[in-house]
Amino acid sequence: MTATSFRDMEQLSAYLDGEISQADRARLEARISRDRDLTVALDDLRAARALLHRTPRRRVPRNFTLTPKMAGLRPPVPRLVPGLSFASAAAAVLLLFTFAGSLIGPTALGASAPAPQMAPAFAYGGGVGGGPAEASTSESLDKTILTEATPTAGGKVPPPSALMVAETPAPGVRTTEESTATLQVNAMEQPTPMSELLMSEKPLPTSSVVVPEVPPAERATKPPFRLTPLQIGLLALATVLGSAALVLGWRANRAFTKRVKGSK
Amino acid sequence: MDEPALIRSAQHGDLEAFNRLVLAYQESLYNTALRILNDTELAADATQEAFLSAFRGLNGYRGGSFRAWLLRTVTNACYDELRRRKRRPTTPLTPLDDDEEDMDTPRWLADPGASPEEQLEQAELEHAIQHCLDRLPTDFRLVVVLADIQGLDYTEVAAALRKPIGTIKSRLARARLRLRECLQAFRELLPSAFRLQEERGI
Repeated sequence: MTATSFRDMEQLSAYLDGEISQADRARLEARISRDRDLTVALDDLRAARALLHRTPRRRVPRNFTLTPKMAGLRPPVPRLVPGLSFASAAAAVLLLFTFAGSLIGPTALGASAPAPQMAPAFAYGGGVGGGPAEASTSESLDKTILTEATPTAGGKVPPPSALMVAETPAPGVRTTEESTATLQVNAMEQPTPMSELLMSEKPLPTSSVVVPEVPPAERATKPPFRLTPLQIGLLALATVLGSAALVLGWRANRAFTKRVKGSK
Repeated sequence: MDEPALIRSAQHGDLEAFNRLVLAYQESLYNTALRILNDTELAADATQEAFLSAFRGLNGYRGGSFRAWLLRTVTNACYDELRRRKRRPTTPLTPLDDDEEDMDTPRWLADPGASPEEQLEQAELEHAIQHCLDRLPTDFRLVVVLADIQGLDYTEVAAALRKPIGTIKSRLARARLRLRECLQAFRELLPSAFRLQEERGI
């Protein structure tokens, strides 16, 4: 098909739709009456157009109406709700801060009462692991303990310490495992192993005397978990404000849903 | 239905007014999407997406043919779907036989309210037209669907597709020529549909 003939077809197509000017229409009709090919082409286009006009229309499978949710419409939020929510969240955050402060506080203050109580257990139970970390918790106490624990790590024969003297009257050459086991037994079974140290013949460094001063009963007890009045207040505030925000939001949502349903 | 009043109300967020417009135009949008996509599920999705998009962008409507404006939203949704389909091809809705050839008479497409003969003719006609539409380039298909199936005038088609009227005129002529050639193959199947004598006169 030449470019000219396509232009004719374009004119014929627009002619069928009544989309050409009056002047073009008159010229085209005059040509159609003279030109048989144009008449045939016009009939072809008309047939195709008529067929397309007869395309069956389908029923919609469902209604495409929008729901408020689909449309992104939200119930109006009462003015108090954001403020209440924020205040509730702020109270909860403060409460968490107070908990964090009570947990971090004792460590931050340095050596406190429970720390030296735990130190012997670390040193005796895990002699190999006795290192700077444990030593740092209570330096004064660990000086004594580390002198006994460190050799086990090195695999050397420990020097006859006061503890061993108390346990075994004739200290010979011991293996590392034996000495460790002895230390563990002392630590586990004897509630006051340091008292023996005091009774031994060899004088001990003054720092080691600190341990027996702590009564065994106090070592076992842990401070009970208690909420301070501030924490109780913050907890109550967060709960009450949060609940109020939820209730207000729920009521607004329910009213909006009723209104939308009623308008349908 | 006072369409301008409903449009104004909908522009102010009145969902009920918008839904009345939806009910008035949903068949037109759905059938447009169906002819472009040839898939009932995808056509329904595109129609829903178009109405959602129309509600959100309703303030962008500045007068003129509201139908053309709505049809633009659905053609946009169809374009998106066609682009997705290009990336991951899906199985066509048209049933295939064992040789993976299109079945000649997809009776399951017919309107159950018509007589058996009418159902058959409708199904054959629909199949033939859809078959030929599917073989058109997308731009030609959109023009011919809007102009010849939905009955929009050139100005409305140009507004719906955001193309100059000259482009619409040219594409429509080309599309009709191609469709005419394609539909010739169905002449035997569509005896009554090709009665040119009935269509004589403008």
